[in-house]
Amino acid sequence: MGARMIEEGEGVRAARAAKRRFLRTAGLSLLGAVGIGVVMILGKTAPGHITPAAAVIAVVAMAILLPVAIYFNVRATDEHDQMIGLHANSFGLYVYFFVQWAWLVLWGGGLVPAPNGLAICLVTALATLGRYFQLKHLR
Amino acid sequence: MDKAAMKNRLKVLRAERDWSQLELGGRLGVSRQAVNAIETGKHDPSLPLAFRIARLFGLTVEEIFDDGCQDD
Repeated sequence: MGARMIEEGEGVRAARAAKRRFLRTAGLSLLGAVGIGVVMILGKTAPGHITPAAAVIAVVAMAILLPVAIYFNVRATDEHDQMIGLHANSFGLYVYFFVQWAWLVLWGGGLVPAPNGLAICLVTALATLGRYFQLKHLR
Repeated sequence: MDKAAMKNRLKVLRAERDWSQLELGGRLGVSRQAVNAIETGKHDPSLPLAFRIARLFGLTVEEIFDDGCQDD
């Protein structure tokens, strides 16, 4: 065996099982996020494209599914992941408020078109994910 | 988050057992990145995790972690 680390102990198997659980919940969350994005884009580009009933169902479903997804995501993560998630979310919140405020001010000055909620949401999500990735993998 | 963390002997103890970070993380119920963050002083473990680490190695928490404040 020499200096080579043991790679197939009970810990490795447990770690791989935990990673599978995490990827499963993360994948489901990603699917949900794509669903939200599609609905938002449809609603944005074609007002009235979604029927009122479908809109209400989508909102109610999201109100139920979002906390469930967050619950399972938190359960699948360890304390280090939760800590960097907290930092990434705080960073995302800062980005959200700054971009929203800056865009409003620039719009008030006649420099840019009116703020676009979807664009601000996307920037916030990308900033949060980027910060999370940096804290988890690049530090 | 980047404040000075406690020193610890986790890397040495892990090497003595020929465990990878993934192996240790799996035994502790945390990710490989969490083990790396603790070893490099970027993350101080919670009390429950510190006790799990101590139990795993058959040592006390104080024998693994040092906050640099002991007088004796």
